[in-house]
Amino acid sequence: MKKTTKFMAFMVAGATVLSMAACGAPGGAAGASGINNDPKANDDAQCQNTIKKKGVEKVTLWAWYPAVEKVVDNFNEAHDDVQVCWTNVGNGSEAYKKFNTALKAKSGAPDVMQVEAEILPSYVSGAEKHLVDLSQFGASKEKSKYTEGSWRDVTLGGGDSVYAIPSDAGPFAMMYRKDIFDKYGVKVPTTWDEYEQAGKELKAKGFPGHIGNYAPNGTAMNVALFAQKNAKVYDYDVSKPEDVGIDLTSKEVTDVMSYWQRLVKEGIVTTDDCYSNDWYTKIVDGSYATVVNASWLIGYVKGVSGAQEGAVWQVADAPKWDSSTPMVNQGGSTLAVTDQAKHTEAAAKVAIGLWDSEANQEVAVKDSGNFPVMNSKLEADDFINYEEPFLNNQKVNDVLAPIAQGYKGYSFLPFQTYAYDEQTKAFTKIVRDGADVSSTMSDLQKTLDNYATQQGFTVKK
Amino acid sequence: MNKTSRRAANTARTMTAQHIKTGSRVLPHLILVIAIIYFLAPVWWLLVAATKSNSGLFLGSAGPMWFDRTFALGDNLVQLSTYQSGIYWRWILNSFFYALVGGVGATTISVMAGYGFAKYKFKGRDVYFNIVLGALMIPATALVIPTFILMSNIGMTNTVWAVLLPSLLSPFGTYLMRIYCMSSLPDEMMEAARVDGAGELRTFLQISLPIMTPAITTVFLLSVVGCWNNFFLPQVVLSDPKLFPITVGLTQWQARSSAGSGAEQIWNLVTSGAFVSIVPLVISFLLLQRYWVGGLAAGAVKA
Amino acid sequence: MTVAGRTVPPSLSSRPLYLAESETDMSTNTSKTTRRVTGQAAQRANLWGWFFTAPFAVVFVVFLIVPMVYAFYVSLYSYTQVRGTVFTGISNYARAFKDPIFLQGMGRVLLYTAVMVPIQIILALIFALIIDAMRTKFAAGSRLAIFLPYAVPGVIGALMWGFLYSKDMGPFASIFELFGMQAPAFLSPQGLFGSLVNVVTWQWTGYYMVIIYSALQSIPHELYESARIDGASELQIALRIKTPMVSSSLVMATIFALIGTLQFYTEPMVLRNNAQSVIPPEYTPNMYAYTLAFNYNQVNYSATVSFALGLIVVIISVIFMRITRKQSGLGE
Repeated sequence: MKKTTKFMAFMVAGATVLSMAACGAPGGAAGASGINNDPKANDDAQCQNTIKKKGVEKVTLWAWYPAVEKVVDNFNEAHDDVQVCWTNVGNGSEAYKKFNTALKAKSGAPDVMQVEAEILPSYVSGAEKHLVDLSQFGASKEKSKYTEGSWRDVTLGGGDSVYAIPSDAGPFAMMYRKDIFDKYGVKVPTTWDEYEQAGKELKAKGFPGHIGNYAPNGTAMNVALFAQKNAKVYDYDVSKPEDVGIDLTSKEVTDVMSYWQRLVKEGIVTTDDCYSNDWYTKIVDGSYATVVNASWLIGYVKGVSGAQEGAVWQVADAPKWDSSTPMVNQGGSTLAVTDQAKHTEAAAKVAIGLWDSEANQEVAVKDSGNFPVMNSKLEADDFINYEEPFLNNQKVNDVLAPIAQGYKGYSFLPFQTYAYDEQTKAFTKIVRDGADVSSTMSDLQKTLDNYATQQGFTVKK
Repeated sequence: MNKTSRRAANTARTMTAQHIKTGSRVLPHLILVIAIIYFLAPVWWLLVAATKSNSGLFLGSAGPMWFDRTFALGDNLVQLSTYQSGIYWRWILNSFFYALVGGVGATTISVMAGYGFAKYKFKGRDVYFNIVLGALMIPATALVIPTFILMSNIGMTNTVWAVLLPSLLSPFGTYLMRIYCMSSLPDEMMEAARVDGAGELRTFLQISLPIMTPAITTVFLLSVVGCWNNFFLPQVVLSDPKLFPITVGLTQWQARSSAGSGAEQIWNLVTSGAFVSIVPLVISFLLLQRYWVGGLAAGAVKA
Repeated sequence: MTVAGRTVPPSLSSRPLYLAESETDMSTNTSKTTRRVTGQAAQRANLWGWFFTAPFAVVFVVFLIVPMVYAFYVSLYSYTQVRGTVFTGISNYARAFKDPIFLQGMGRVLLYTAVMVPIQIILALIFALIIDAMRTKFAAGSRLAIFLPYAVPGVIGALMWGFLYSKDMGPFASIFELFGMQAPAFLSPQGLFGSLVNVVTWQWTGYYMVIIYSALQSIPHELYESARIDGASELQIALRIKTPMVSSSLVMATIFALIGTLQFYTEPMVLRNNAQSVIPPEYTPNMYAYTLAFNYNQVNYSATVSFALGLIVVIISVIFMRITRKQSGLGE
């Protein structure tokens, strides 16, 4: 009986594992360099998409982009030597959990995986080298096709290695309710000083909502706010895989946190958690006059457009500190090849080629709401001149494309998930409980330093 | 009791009942009315929410507890059946499959084990049973990760077996069956069967099982509900959405709605999907309620 | 004195009439435990006892003992991102019992246990007693209504309450408005405790009620009908006769609630989606273990935390069972 066999196998496995070295030992089952060559290994793989071409080598992909099925179909249509076998195992953190467990088990990971740029270092650092350097498969040639910042992010420090291919970006911008600003006769802010001023004015003139919100749990959003001050809070370079940089006590960081603490005290902004029901509701029902966030939020809000009659949404640059404020990015994904890829070369081909077609760049923009990182698309006339009906036919990409192209890149820690959880706690204390900014930030600094040291990293000073 | 005292009792009861009806019966009724509102209102909310579109959910015309002016239940159901190629119904079917197969398996094993523990004083029984009792207390989550690693070593992750086989383990069901067997299967009856020449297996199947029916039903219902509610283990061991039970699928959709980057507006699918998913279980609860009461009493009456 | 294996509290012993009745009533059910076992019978018991329990033993060993031993084995190693995995013996345990995050989570869970378990059991008992005493269609309907949430999977229940607690999607804002009040912030640091207690109470009270109600059903009616003749009020009957009679099921329900609460996980984890800054990912020990393993990649320390938690749960449950041994029949 099959069941009995499984039982026996399970017990045997238990015994075997117990006699083996501890789980999670470095190295792994994959070849020393993480390069494998078994084109037949995926022949029986289960896919969420339907593969029409039979007998062609398959590459497995985990991705959660909206409309990814169309992208995969287009790719498969255009390729006869390799077919993508896609599965959606959950968004972001859900997918990473699955990936982490597969890494522990040394099997079960996909060949190609969607990874957000900020999470890449977690899989390429210290003893964890689970993503394949794609430069050996000709990825370096692709550099010129992509925006400067998005490419720098996938090199993890600006070197020659390429750990993923960028697929989309999150240009940091401000969505605002033109009707609200018009109604109360308040000027739309372009700097953070004006933002504070406008917030006060709206309040004074009887606007029942708030100009905006500071979300303590806004992970990448809050880092983007630091990046606007040119503060490098997190730093990691793959060429020195045992070093990390953490700087949360600089004047720039303190300034940013003090700014938000002040706005909260003045009652100009709220401190709701983002990505919660309430946050979305407040965006939609006009409780916030602005939302400063990545551009993908536009697509999301559009999904419930018409919820409030008379709402007039527009998009502008995120408020700046001064003329030295850089263009920043929040979020954005990449396609990486894992060290469990059965046929690494084919997997690299998929990672490099999946989005790189006229058809799929079109799907990215039209169906998935992904903001492109390919220069060809960003500079295309139809893209730049696209008039978004939801934004009263504003040429929205005219605003966003320069932000994406102006972005120079940013670094994240090899334990970014932990850092995010801890930063959320600190920011909550500062904006909700009015805790002292500099002591709270230096506590956070200490916590992260300790964790880094405990994980074996050297903290650069 | 003799006839006179019984009649006296009846008169007394009528009197007290009447006395109680006028005075102290108000409070119990009030408590129950509040309880009904408390326990049913959230389900009502879910029913109402299932009929709303996304914008209705966010900004309904009649508030959260009443229907929006656009009645979108039909649209939601259509969208449920088409979103991601109608995977929702697949999840429901999977849940049924896991619950029924896991339920039957777990019940069979528990019934046999409970019977064995109760009716045979075999060597090592007491130690064995105490270990089982201890197992009731082990946090299930503690074992999920090791189980996952062990399973992946034999390539069992991402298969139905990964969900079904662990759900066969039901220490509580075994415990319940043991108590029931101890209190409702007299040893004399088994002895009599043996004297009549019936083998142990026949005694079990033909004499004991029929008597155990109420408890078996309860253990079965408990196992089915347990498997139906199963969330943590399937969430960890399954990566193919085609194998998900409904609990895992819906939470994935919820995460998708609130994910930030790459999010999609499918709140309406989460609420209508949640509503549709509880309908089968609620109906079966209503129909099978007496079995719950009957069998769980077994746990209360001990030998 | 015992009635069908239960200890009868002194208050009952003063009513010999009911006792005498019930003893004659139930003695037919009580099987004799002492029995002369012949060699052949012992052999038969060994063979068939193991035969009937063997399938359970296999599942038990494979899906409980093996993973447990493995988890313990894993907990003896430590993992760091740079150096990988090294053997560190029991030092992880020393770390866990000094880890403020683990200890805080443990403290939180103990607080929840102290509040949540009595609330659920007392409510369940009240409902069960009322419904048992009433025996009307209305009572039967209420029983269904109270039991209904048990049919809702825990995750889906928590998800639903997440919506209900929402300031804008939930009904509370408008309900409180009717009374000219502002709805409490359910998912704020101040409101969270009560909100979580409420979700669990909503979900599980009905289940405990049914356990207790079933026990009430099995009490012979004569026992309290005589009390009625004596002029005892329903309340007196409920408190002095019925409640002591169902003490074993109360203990059983309490143990379930106790174990469930110490492993508190699903509800805070699901509500966290709506209140990330209020519910940290290590809110309860189980959440901590999960977060360590899946988010921070610390499988070894996660196993340690799980094991330490398991140990504490077992200790607390054993203490509780010792105290209530006679009622529960679990510690025999």
